[in-house]
Amino acid sequence: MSEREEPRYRLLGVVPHEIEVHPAREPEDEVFTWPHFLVRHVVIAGITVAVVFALAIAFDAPLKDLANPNLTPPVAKAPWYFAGLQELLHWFHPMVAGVLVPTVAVVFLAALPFLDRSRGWRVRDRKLVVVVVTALVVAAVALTLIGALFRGPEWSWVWPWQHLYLEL
Amino acid sequence: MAERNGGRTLRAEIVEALIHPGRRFKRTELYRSAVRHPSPASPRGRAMTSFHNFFLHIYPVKVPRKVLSFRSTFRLGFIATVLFTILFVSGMYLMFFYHPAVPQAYFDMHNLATSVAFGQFVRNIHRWAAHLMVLVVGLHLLRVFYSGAYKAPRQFNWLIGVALLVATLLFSFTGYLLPWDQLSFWAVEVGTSIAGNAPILGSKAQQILLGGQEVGGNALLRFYVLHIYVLPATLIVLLAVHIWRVRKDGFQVADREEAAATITEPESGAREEVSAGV
Repeated sequence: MSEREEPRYRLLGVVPHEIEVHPAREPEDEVFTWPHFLVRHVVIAGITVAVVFALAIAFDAPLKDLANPNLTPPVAKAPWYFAGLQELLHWFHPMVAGVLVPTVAVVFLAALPFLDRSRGWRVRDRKLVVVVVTALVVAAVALTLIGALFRGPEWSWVWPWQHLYLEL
Repeated sequence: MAERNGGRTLRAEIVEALIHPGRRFKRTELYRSAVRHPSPASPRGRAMTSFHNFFLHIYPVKVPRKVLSFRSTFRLGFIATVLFTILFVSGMYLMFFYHPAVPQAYFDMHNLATSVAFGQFVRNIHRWAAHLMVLVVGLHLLRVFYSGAYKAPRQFNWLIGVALLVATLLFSFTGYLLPWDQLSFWAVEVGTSIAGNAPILGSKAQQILLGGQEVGGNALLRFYVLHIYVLPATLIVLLAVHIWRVRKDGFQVADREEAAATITEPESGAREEVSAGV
């Protein structure tokens, strides 16, 4: 028998018995982006622009007196999204509230997908991470609201209905 | 009457030019060289529209039907992108009338309000869109977290998203100083005094940020350059990668459907045994 006629075999691969079965997606599960998805985006974009325009017509952006480093205003507040940090600064050393907490917060957020070892996307599949993050979010929102709405001169407690020291 | 191209009479051409100028324009060489796909009236035409349009390239040709529902994503990422576009355009207009100098910056604000066409209006648009963008980006982060869309294979896109959030906050904070009034000055004074507490660098960090010992002309110039050059360039690149990744990874809503339908019998059986043992 010549070399050529010898049967040749190739090992293609060994597959475990249990494999994930992905059912083929039905053709009608998908629709064309143009126009179905795009028209929704156009509508949302239009609404967004309309909301911004309405706000811009209704409310003027604030403008106080010329900046004066020698004249501290009675209330010196950071922008609202940093009001939570400013509230923390009231309680803790600046090293902790101003540097440590925001740095840890950003690093924790960035590392979240790599820290979360739970399987599955549902809330019930990852209770621990949902509870931890929810607690942190509630704390951050509460601090921000307190700093932005409930603080007045010298960072004293002022109810928002007494006087609202909030500038956007 | 003279016969013209396509057997149309001159009169028919004039009537068409008056009533359907668009139809007429679509036959021109200019239009046909720019828009090369067939009319999107057929499925093939719709697919070709996606293939041949640069701007539609950020979208897949087809999307899962589930994504059409508003509640699938609340469109928060898209709204943030629209707000960024509004900020990009309105900011460009404001730049024409702004000098990053003390105290000219402040007087420019008054000029915007009194002697620039739509100056105050555009400034208002820029301000409210900026506040809304911070809010919407924050909500987008929460939505992605609670729907579990940060999990594999999307971990890295979550990381880019966090970078985009930080960029958005820096954008808003640097922009806050630019009007150079008491509000912006003292807000930034409060914010940057924190940097003086940075470990190792200490007050060096604050000096690098402000270009001096205190919030002054150098700080204004630095914040301006960050605001109109460094941050837009950074954010646009990050955003491009972010959206490109969404396109590559597919919509998470579709994955959820698939995961629900995936048959993993032996695994769930094993899990039951463990819980029974406990």
